[in-house]
Amino acid sequence: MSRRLALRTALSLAQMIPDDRTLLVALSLAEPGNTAFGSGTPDPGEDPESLRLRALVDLARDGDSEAFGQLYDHYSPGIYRFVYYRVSSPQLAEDLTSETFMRGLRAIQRFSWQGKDFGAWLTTIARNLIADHFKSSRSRLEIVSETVPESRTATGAEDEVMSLLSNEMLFEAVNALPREQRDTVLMRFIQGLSIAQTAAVLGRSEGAVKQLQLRAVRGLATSMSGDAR
Amino acid sequence: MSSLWGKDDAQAFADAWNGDASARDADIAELVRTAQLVSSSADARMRPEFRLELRGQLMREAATSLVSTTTARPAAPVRQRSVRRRLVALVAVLVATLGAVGMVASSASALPGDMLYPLKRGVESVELALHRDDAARGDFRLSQATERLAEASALASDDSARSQELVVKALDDFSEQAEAGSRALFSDFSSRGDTSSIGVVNEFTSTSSARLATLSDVLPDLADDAFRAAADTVSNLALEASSLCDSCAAIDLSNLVAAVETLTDLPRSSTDPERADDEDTKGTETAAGEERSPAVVPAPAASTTTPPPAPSGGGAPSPTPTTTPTPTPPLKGLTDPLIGGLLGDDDQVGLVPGLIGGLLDGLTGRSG
Repeated sequence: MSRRLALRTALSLAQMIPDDRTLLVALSLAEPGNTAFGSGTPDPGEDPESLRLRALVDLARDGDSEAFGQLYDHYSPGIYRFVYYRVSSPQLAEDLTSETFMRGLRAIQRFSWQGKDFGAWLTTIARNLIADHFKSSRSRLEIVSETVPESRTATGAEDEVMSLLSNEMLFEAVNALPREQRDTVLMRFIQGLSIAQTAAVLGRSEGAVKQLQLRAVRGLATSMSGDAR
Repeated sequence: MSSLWGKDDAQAFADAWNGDASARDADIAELVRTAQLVSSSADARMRPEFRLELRGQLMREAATSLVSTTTARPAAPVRQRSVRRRLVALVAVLVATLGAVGMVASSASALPGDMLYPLKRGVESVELALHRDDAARGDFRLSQATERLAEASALASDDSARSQELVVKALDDFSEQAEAGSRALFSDFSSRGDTSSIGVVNEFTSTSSARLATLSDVLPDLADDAFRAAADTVSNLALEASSLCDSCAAIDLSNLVAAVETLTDLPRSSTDPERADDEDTKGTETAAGEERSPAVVPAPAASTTTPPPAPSGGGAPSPTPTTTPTPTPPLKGLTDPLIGGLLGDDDQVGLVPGLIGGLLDGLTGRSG
């Protein structure tokens, strides 16, 4: 059995002979770091999932639409949540999510990896769209803020500490925070971005993001315990 | 108040949230619970129909927008496919390489007769092909020869007839590779005058003679001739090195000569130091080269006939007068060393033939 395996491996080695570089790889036994791995050389410690996403971005930039579809599948739930808990309207959240991915699609061929993460890049697009939306249509902002107090009275369940917050409650608590703390909470705890991704979107250091998230959570804890009582 | 929320708190909370550390105190634990509450409450999802619709929209848009922006590159669709193929190929190569590397690594300790041994020799051939200049090739050849000697020593302790044959083969290969490697280094010395090449040969002959002396105790009778040929080769090379460059040899020649003496004692002592000194006084390179053969040939001739198995053996009297360190034909023939290494040449089992040999063994033989 192992003999068969050995022969098969020897055969695959023989097939690889025409490529001089592959031989060098095979010969430089314990140096897997030397393998030339496509464009955008990944960090050594990257997990398979981020390698897959990187490859998808590279394919999409080369014109592979299915690769973009898979990127959409991966990133859209988080983007949607980010937008939704910022605008509190499913309809508006859908519009802004659509627009985010449309813009991402049209701009992806200008996207470069230099110091950027694709998820952070998409979130930046969404964040700018939300800002534009609030800037241009104050009327909608009025509508949105009107809907909130209305449904707020419907929340209950104060007995259980860990009972889930209603979407409205969560929206209000989060959007009562200062701007950067609010966006930090949205990205870190609602969308699920990493510290590094959040720092990239905000243009702050990772240390600053840690401070922001701590302050934001303290603020949330205070406001939510106030609500509960 | 806010001064209490120092950097430590921020780090402690970040670690606790990431699961890198448990919450440092009740305060941090409470904050982590709050964050968890936010995180698990935020369960808003896209309506499935919206999600699919948007995906379809994006796919349609991608078909035009992704390709249309690449019209500058007319080969865009082809390119797209080729990228995917490249990824597939890359993964295949990685998998195959990882497997192959494991094989190559485990073949490094293979002995003649082992299944992986042809692979080991094949890898050596390829490695040899990667060394381009005489000094590097010679050096590598000598390390190959050293490896053969180690194999012979490992096999010599086994009494089976097959092992004894393999000892003979390993010793023959040793002689061959020692000769070829030294030739390359001598040629490097005469073309560049770098005494370190001679130093490499000296070091090799000195360690090899010591190892041969050890080996002689456990050697099967069958291998006597091959052993004598190997011993001749070593003493021969030592003498030639010393005649080419006595200043480099002077350092450890006494040591070396003693070792060679113990070696050649086995057949019969004929390469005594005096002869070596004679040669040194005659001195010129050509003279040394011509003088070399007679100086050593009597050794095996005195006891038995020169062993035929020594193929390009240093001790064998060649009909053409040996002119000074010109590379031996096999080396000259390697105008394209890679091809030589892969397909094999006079003194190398090529990688391809080696593998094919292994394959044939597997097909015809004992895999059952």
